[in-house]
Amino acid sequence: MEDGNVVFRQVQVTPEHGLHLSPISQLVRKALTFSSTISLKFDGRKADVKSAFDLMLLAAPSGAILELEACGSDATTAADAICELFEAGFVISASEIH
Amino acid sequence: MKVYTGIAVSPGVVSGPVLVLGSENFRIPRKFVSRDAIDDELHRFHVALEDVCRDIKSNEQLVSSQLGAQYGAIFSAHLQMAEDPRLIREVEALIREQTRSPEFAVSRVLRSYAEQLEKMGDRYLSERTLDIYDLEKRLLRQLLGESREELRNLTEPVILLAHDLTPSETATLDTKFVLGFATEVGGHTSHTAILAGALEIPAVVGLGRCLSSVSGGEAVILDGDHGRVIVDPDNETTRRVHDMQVRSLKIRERLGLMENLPAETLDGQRVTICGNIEFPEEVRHCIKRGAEGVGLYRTEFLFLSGNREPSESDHYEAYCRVVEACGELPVVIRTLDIGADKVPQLLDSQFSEIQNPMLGLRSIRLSLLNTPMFKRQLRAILRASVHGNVRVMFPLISTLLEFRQAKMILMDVMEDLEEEGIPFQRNIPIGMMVEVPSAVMLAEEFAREVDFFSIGTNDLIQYTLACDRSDPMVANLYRSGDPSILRLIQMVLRAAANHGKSVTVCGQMSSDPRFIPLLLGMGLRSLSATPQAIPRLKEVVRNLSMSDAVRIAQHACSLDLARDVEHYLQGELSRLCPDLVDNIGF
Repeated sequence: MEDGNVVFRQVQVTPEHGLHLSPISQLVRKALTFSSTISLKFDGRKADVKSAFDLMLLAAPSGAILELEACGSDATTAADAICELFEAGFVISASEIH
Repeated sequence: MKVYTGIAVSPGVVSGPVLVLGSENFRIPRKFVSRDAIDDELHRFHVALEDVCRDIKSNEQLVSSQLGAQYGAIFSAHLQMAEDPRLIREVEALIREQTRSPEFAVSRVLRSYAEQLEKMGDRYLSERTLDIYDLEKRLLRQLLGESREELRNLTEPVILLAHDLTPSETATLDTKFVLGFATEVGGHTSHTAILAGALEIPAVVGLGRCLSSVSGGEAVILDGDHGRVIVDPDNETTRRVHDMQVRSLKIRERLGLMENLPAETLDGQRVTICGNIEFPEEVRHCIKRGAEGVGLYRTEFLFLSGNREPSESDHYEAYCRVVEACGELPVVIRTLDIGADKVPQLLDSQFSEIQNPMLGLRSIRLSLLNTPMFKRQLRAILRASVHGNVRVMFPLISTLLEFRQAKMILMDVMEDLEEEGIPFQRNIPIGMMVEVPSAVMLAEEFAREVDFFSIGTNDLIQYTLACDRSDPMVANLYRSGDPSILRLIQMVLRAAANHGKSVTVCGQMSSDPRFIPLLLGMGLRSLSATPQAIPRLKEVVRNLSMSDAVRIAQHACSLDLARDVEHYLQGELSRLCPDLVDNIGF
């Protein structure tokens, strides 16, 4: 995990109401499937993507640009997966709700 | 002396010391823990957290399977919050570094999140503070579990005062020591209220805020007949209450002799009086008081008590116990009637999302949307039907289509059973509750399709007068004696008579002796009431002649105001059975 593999990306908050509960819930669920530490930075604040409270308190509004940082052995796949969620606009397909 | 007025939900007058159960805002008993206890306290926090997570998971599964994955997702978000690494880290830090108690730490950390979210002024996120408070409550409930434990370790008789009691808490009250209970919230038809009746302990609900001014241990009189709680009564009041208790005991003794006498008017008109039950155990209360069957078997308890959805055999076993205990006597089984004020804890947060629960997804509407669940219940009812005299009844029918759909599903289930070679009563009578004004308007049409009607006055009054009885600001509109209600009942009786169908009145109105002469005079011949009320109803019937009843009904129906109707009926009752009218006030 601590092999120093760090990946940086930029993502934009697309949901109309900003990063509210449903996107947060999807982000946490996705992040927990990776061993890497994943964080999002906004407005000088940094949130652990595995923490719903961190993400809520990040209070990222619609349109905000966030700095994504993933650090760990699966950092690249983790960053890709998180970016994908942002790009898809957090639209949930029925199958994804499980 | 302080008097609080609420809604009387279970009769009887008791006095004793008060035991106050923590309100919604849990009182955190201590803020600090000793340094040597830190590891134990951390352990306690983690155990509580695990329990909460387990609860949330089982709620999620249940809700997903019953209502669909999108509802279950609410709980998966809750679970993420409970398992949140930041929350755990910060709570642990407060316990370890500042020797705070887990209760204090949990509350402090979660409330700081809620406050920050509220400050952001983002509507979507500030709504989440409710979820955060919910999590706080769950955790505190686990951590402070012992405070409600005191309910199980009672050693002397008490009167319980609480913000609210859950149905399961009510069901498990130790009636040896709990003389009666009163709650700040709740309405007449709330589940807790119904359970109090079933347990036969005096109860008052909907007192409004009062917990903060009672510290516990004070002498209290709980008057379940008039819906009053008197804290620190003066001598005069104590004496009057004592007299009243003596008198009501005498009346009860006399009424006890009623059980073997038929419900028959002075001029020989027979009236059928059945009992309303919630639990199989209550059949005994009915039979003991001479009920001629179960006129309303509410089946919600199976759903409200457990942590999982009842299986077909859970249903079947409960129904068989009731049906067998009744022998030849009829048992009317009402299909699931949850929603509105009766929501299983399992589905609680689910239903709290509904804006207007009384007008929302509840009762038969929920069953029709959930065919697998509905069919499970119907299969069990049909299977139990071979053991006695079973009738099935659908609640809250508001359109003909709903009734037809429900009946069609019942037919489907019959076909399935037939294919599987499982015996059932093919011509089982199928009836409906009349609780919605639209059903009364179409009573003629319904009368062609149903085997029987049962008028549920509680909901009928609420929907007709558009008022929620548990809301003290409008509760005065809720009157059984409202002329509109009398007229609706007449319409149903007329339609049923035109098609040779039977009508029963269940609900609070049929348990109120004042209304018996009126209902009989209007043509009703069948009542179903709470078991405790049956002897009183019999006494009224046995002191009444049909010519009196008709005269009383005619006059009552000519009055314009609910107040006048009720006052008139009260006067008539005091002539017929002076004992049953009590004028004692405080």
